[in-house]
Amino acid sequence: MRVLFYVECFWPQIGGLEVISAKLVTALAQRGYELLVVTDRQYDWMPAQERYGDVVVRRLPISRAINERDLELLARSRREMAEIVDELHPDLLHASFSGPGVWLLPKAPGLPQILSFHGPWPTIDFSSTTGIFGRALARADWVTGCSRYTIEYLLRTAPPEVAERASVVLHGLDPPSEGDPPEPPSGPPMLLCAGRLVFEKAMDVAIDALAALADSHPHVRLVLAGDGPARAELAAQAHALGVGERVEFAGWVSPEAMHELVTQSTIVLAPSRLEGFGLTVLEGALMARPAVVADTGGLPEAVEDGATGLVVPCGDVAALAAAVRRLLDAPDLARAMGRAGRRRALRVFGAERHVDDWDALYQRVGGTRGGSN
Amino acid sequence: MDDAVRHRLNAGTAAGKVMEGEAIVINAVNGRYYSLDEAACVAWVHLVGGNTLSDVVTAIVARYNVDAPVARADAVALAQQLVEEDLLLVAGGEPATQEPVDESELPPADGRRAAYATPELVTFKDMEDLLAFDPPLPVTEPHDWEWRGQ
Repeated sequence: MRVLFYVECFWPQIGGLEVISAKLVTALAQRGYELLVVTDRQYDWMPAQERYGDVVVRRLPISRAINERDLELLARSRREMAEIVDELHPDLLHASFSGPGVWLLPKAPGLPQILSFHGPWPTIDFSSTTGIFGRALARADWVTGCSRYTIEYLLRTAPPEVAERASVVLHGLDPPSEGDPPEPPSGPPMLLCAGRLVFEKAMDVAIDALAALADSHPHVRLVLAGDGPARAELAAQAHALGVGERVEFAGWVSPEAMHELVTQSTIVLAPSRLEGFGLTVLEGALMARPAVVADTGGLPEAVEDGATGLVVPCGDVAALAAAVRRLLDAPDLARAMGRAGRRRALRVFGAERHVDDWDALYQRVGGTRGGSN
Repeated sequence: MDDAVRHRLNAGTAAGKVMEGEAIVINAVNGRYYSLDEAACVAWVHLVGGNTLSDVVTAIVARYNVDAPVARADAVALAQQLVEEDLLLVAGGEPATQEPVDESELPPADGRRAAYATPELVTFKDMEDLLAFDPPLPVTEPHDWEWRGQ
């Protein structure tokens, strides 16, 4: 089956969607799917075409065209998209809804389409039947969410008939290495918080919590992995609270470096104000690290409260600090939660199950046109 | 509206381009995107080309299965909406150019008339929301790509 896989950001850009998409297309290619990834070409120095393993990646200047309201560039992107469809003659289009680029997806009558959602979009009118979102939703033969929360969020306001062609496909990852993961290293505990440095990720709450722990745990470090527009503000906040030397900004890190950071960590934090799922929590669980997360979005699905980590009210600094303190003061409990988290991650969020789910859905939605693999 | 009335693009505010039978129009003042499909796209091409309302109706009727009075009423409503959105100006008089309208991106007027739907100006109000909520993060350093292929 030939699949046109559209995602606004793709490897080697870093982020939950980028990482999960790269792993998914690789695994599906190994199962015999012929995939072509179309993604955004933010800058000219990004290659317009390259290979990622067995998969061809084409980049079109989508975000530049839309942001700069450049109609010529927009026309070029759309023309190239149409040419790609003509060349590939896909049996299925799988598009991740990650921005306005879905507007440029080919109309291609008769081409089955799956539209995937990876988180809430609070500013979008999901009930609208026109506009970019409405068009993409109306064209989709099937709609998925990466968590129960995400799909329920969508269905709360989407046209009612969408519920008849919607399902959850949970994220899935394999452990980065065979065997039991190492225990957290001795020395000052390390809290790890990963993601874009933006308001939605609420890393300011993590810094506040670190400051609240200063009396009882003055040596705890907080590592923020990722980058974004809030970086300077977060650094200033840490400095003002007197914890500047214990907050480390790691910037964007490669998956290998992320694995190393998780290995070095004691607890993974996800205090997010908005979150579709929380892939970093899963990465932590696979390394048997307990998590403390906000009761936001899909995070309570990623963490079983009291069993694999602790869930606290979103934005509640005292509760976040208390949960971290509880785990730091009871290493045996933290270790047990970490191990339980790993067992659950392997059982519920495994990569094989993830690929199986997509394989089955591709066959269901695109199989009538492309036949089975 | 008089059959001889002409319009022109409000060039100080708007820009448009026809792609695959769809006109994409941008209002540069408020940043809003618009889309005109099918008969609306035919109307747009002829309106910005300086043709008369009568020419617009002829172009629509040649491509879609619709009676001229209905097409005319719809074209008038659409033209008024485009003016209200500051995308078109009422020109009047002779066209600015004698060049024929470029119909290359429109369906051919070859007698095969397609099903007609009332032409609509679709406003992508959610575009600004989409752009504002989750703008793509800059990747300013090409060395970020060193992990490629791993």
